[in-house]
Amino acid sequence: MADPLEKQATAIRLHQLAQHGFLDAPALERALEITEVFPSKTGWQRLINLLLLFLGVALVLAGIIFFFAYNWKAMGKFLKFGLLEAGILLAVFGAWQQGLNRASGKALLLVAAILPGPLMAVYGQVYQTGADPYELFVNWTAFILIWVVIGQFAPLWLVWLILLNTSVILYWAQILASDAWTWAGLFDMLSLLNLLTLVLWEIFSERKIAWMHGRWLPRIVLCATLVALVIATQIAIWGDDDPFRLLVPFLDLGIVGGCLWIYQTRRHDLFMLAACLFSGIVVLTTLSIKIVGWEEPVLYLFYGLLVVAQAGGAVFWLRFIQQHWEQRAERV
Amino acid sequence: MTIRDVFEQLIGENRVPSNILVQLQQSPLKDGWTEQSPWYVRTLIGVSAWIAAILFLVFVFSIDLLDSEESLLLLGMILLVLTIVIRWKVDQVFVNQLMLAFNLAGQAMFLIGLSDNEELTATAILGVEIVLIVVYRDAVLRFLATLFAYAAVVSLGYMYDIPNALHALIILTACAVGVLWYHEAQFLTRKSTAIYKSVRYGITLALLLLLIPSMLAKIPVTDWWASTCGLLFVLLLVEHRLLNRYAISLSSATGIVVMICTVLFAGPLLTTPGIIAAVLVLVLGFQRGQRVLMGLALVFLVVFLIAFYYHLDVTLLMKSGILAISGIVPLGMRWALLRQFGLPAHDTHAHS
Repeated sequence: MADPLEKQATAIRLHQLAQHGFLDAPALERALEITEVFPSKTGWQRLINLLLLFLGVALVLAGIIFFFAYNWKAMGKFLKFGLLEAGILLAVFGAWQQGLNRASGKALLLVAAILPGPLMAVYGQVYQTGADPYELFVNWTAFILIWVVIGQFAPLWLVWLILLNTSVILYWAQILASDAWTWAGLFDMLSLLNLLTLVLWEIFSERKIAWMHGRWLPRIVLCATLVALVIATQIAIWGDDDPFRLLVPFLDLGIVGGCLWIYQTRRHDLFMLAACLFSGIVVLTTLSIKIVGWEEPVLYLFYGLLVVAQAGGAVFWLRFIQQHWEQRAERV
Repeated sequence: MTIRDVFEQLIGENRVPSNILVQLQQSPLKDGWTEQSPWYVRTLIGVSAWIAAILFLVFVFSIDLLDSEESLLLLGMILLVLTIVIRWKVDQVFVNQLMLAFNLAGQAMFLIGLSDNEELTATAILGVEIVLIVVYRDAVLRFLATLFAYAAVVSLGYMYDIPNALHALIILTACAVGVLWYHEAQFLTRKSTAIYKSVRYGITLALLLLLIPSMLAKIPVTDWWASTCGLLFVLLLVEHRLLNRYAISLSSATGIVVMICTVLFAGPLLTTPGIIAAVLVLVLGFQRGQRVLMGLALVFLVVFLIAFYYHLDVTLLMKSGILAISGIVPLGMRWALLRQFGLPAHDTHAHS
């Protein structure tokens, strides 16, 4: 068995040692300094730098949007186009000049990626093209794709994914005939789309690309996948005569089962496992209510105990997995 | 850095006894170190318990046996006592989850049973939550009990027609947040650590939630500048302590800039104390390396900022100007800091 003192000195382990009397308060503070849990002066400078940058950019952008909102009716079409296009050009130039390896450059590219949306909206409004709203989002999504790829900036990818999902939703709702292309089908599609995004992200991030090492974006994408899947499942359980209902069980088992296997064995991420289990609890409980019914009062007691049992089982398994990973890491 | 490395350095600095490594090797702790459950696992536990509690309550109200407030009150009290006793004696995942759900249901029944007398209800709830915080061995329930206790205190303020007492509660809570997080090491080395670790998050979240009424119209609480001033004072105090930690004198250029910028930043925010509170929590979270705290602070900071500009009683044109100036100021401050204080000219890679 590996020497436990060779474990990494995390803040949580140091806190535990302090709780058990191996470190007094001053020694604990010093230990947290040594392990760099506390930020250095440079760390504070970096935080203030980033906060001021993103706060400033967000507020200026909001000011521009409010300016347009106020002057909209009074402004001529060329002024509207000119201001938006100038904004895009300045933002792109600024991003190039600052460099995409700097936070300021990435922030300016984010601004440049947001402005085409209002530009296309103005175009549609001025020339009364009769375009459907989904076309605006599709064009916006396509237009900024190259910037998103070269930007190497996860928040920009999040904006792009939001636009992509919005495009799909609007297309489905506005264009496709609702008899054949139902809401269950829409959410099936969204769950598959976001799953594809997640898979691609995980494949590319395995190449140790620096800007992809954060876990917050794939976690958000998985949550979006599971939310769409749960909604599709609810429609399938409670709806009638929906052709896309038949897909739902396969998607549930495939997506949740696949994610549970991959994030347990290949890519250790406890958050992903917890999210999958929570979606499973929601689906199983709802399915039970549908099958067994809800007329008898005692059934609510049963469903409450069912939720407790499922959640308890989930927590037990998650803690077991976490300890298993710890032990494996020690043996390496 | 390993635990051994850290202790060897501490031994070299005479901060721990020289035989500490031997003590550690002989301690049963080394075999039983358990990682604290991450926040999302605790959220899973809490949300599931809530859902189960609601289902239990539906069952209780569906059966005709409990058709009076007295019977609900009695059953609620029985459940509370039962869950405390069982939880004290048993520590097993399924039992813990079940007791948590029953406890929440018991609290709801207790509340409904007393609902005739509002002041008595709020006072009783406050008492129950304080007892639960002390005796109930569950981090999730202690966290929830802290929030419920605050809700009871705020309710009492409204019932006794002293809504502006909320400002005193906010300032006291901000002081508590500052003390609990800044002096984390002292609290972690005491016997009441288990209570401390749950309550500190509850109190921090309560501070941010207490400031939500400042965004709402038609609220009897007035003079929000009082909370802003109190929060600003606490923030300046925390900044002063942090500057001392990094051996930066208050009279130095950095110290003066930090203090003045903080005061200038707070000036326009007299009616939106939530922004100051969010910044306070962000500063404390960053200092202690607490990402959950930082995430919480950033979410509330965005919410309070949006509310601030939304509620400005001016035209769209003026709002656009105020927003643009509000954005240029931090960009200008950033430029000044980069030029004057020798900050790195190139940012580190802005990795996500």
